[in-house]
Amino acid sequence: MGEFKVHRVRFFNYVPSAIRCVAYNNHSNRLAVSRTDGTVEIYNLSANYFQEKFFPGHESRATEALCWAEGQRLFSAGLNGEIIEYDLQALKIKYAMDAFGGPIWSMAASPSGSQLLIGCEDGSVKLFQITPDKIQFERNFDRQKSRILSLSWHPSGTHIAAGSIDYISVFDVKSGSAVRKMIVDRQYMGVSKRKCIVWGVAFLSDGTIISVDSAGKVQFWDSATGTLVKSHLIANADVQSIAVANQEDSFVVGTAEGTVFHFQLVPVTSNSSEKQWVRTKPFQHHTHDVRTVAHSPTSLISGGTDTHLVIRPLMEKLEVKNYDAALRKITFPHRRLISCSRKRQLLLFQFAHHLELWRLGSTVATGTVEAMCLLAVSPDGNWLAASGTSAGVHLHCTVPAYNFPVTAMAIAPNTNNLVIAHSDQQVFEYSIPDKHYTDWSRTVQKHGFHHLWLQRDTPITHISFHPKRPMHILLHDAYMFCIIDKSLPLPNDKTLLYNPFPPTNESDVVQRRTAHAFKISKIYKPLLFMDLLDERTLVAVERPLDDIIAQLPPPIKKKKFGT
Amino acid sequence: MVQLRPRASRAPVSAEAMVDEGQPTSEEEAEHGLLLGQPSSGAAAEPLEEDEEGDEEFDDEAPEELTFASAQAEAREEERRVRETVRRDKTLLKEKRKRREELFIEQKKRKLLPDTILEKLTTASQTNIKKSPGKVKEVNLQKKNEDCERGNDSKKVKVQKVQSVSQNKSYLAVRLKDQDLRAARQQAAQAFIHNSLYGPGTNRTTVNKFLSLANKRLPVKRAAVQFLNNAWGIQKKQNAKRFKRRWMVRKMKTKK
Repeated sequence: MGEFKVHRVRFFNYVPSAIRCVAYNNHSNRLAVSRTDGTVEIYNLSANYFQEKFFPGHESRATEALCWAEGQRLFSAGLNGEIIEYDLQALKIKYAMDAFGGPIWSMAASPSGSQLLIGCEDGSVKLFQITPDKIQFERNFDRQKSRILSLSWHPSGTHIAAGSIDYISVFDVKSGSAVRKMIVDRQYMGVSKRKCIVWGVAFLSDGTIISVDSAGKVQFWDSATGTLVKSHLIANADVQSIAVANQEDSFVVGTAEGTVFHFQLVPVTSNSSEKQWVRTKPFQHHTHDVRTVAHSPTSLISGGTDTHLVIRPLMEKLEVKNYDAALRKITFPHRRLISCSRKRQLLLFQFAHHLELWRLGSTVATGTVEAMCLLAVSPDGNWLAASGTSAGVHLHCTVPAYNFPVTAMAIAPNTNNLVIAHSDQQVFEYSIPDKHYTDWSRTVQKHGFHHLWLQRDTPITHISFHPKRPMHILLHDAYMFCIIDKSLPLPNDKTLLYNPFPPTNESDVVQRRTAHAFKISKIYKPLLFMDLLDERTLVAVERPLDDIIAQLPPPIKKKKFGT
Repeated sequence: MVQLRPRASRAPVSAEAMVDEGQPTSEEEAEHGLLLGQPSSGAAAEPLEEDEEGDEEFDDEAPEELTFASAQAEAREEERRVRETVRRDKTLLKEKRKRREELFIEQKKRKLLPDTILEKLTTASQTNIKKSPGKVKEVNLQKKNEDCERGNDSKKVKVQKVQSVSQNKSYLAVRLKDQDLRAARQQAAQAFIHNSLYGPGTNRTTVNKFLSLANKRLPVKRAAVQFLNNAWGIQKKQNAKRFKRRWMVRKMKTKK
């Protein structure tokens, strides 16, 4: 492989922004995630949790609520008082409609998907009708005293629970009047000066309302009588989010301490028909507030101020217990944020609102303005490859479609082969002049990749080539970089994928037998970008997690024994 | 009451010149001697003081004789002069202020759009259209809109935006008043969230302390993640640096 001099770059001050809302769409198995800087990302959970769509945002459009409506329509509402619909095909905002109620705190789509309800700052609950191309204001419900912070529809669509400050109200949809008002205690079995903010409510089909509030309580109310049935104190800090499964036998709550609790409806005794809600599993995957949770049929999804998106598959819901059942933590972006100019030795860093241009070897920075997308240009300028959000790759001809989206593409300098990496960790090589897959690519597909290669968490974000060695492909993901040597044999499942340094005291024959095409190194991680500058130099841009954490807002204090 | 021996006034001419009322000097002399009906003790005291001062300075010469009338006249002159200057100052200030106002009005007029476009805007139909990002001429449009509103009979409270009628449609007119209100509400909402999550009463700690908890519980205890506080005493350190530099310079100078 040879020896390289490496420029190790750690000054790319990339801090992702906190996750504010998460919305799961059952039909397409997609997850919409909105962040505090206004960006909205769509993850395809069946394509190995790959981020396929990205809407850049602005702080003024920061969302407070996100929801899917019928027909795969995505709506968001924020503190600027507007309801925004996103166009998922054209990747832009369709329209922004002002709701005239002040800042919007919460939004919920009806179970039928044809109506939209928003809770506003002035205490009003507004009902909108979703028409094929827009939304239309229908009417206002009874106005309440304080801001409506959370909303939930009854599965039948006849009643609504609205959580506010110190109380929860139940509305009747047809008349729009408040039928019940339940006062929430400010503190579990005590008094407190601080008002109790009901951060989340959920309405179950048997009339039970579950509320989570800032005193750390999860409370069960009976909406028919307006009384408290059960109260659980689960945290010393706020419980900020709740999500109920479709079958209504389990729900998940997220707290400000970073803990996510799973509640399940279990029978009281093993053969009784009576069931009760029991807190079954705590998960501590976050360090900061968990501001949003979602419940898909097989997993619990949580996101918060520490910017990680954590997807925890539930073992009892999965049939096949393979690597898919492992925890997925998405921290680093799935797109390439850094570009490198080889001849000029320059690095371009892409931030949310500006760009930074750095020259390697010195420390002077200059700034400009720009935008981005997934393109690959051949070095001789003859070919251009473009990949849309669907899985097809278009050139002057079209590569045969594949059902997983493309994560990285590059065209080799001399042979004009297009190398494509997909989100399921498959790598293809397509020869553009000949318009078919290369022989090497076919052998790789027949042989199959090593199982450890396929079980990698993070997608490949960059592919590059060595100018003098056409048989080498350099690619990397967040935790490893790999040089594929096409001349060497492919590894099968039994060989070691991650080779340590080849021991020099072994005989040549043994070395030749164990050497295989995938040379992987995990020295530099977490890796945001890696490229070949010239024949002897590499540049690696890392982003240590500690540097990101050091710039996050303050977490809740935890008292540990012995400190 | 001080008894004064009647003295002939040394400078009767000047006294005459200074007197406004035109009283004959002989009467003044008589009054001066009798000390009757003095207008104010100050006026009588002034010539006395002058005489005393004169005595101290010129011992061999006879003190300057000043009649009451002359002194009074002097005083009146002074007052008049002072009044004149004050009046002059006032008028000067007034003029200055007037000029400044005119200048401002002129500047405002210059900033406003040409009349043609303003006419078009006032006659245009007022409908709600999509919000536009910051514009260069927003300030003047707001003024113009307010003027229009005042002029209009029916004040449409709900109207927020004015449709642009220019041919190229390169800008949109937006009423700033509403933007301010919306921004204020958004700020209030953000303040509420910040207060409820990070405000007083919440149990928050710094990221440094949070990450250092683990270091405290290790078998071999380590320092905090961010042990040094470089932001402490910045002013003191700067002052010390400056002082050191100056001291060095002084030392170099005295050495030479």
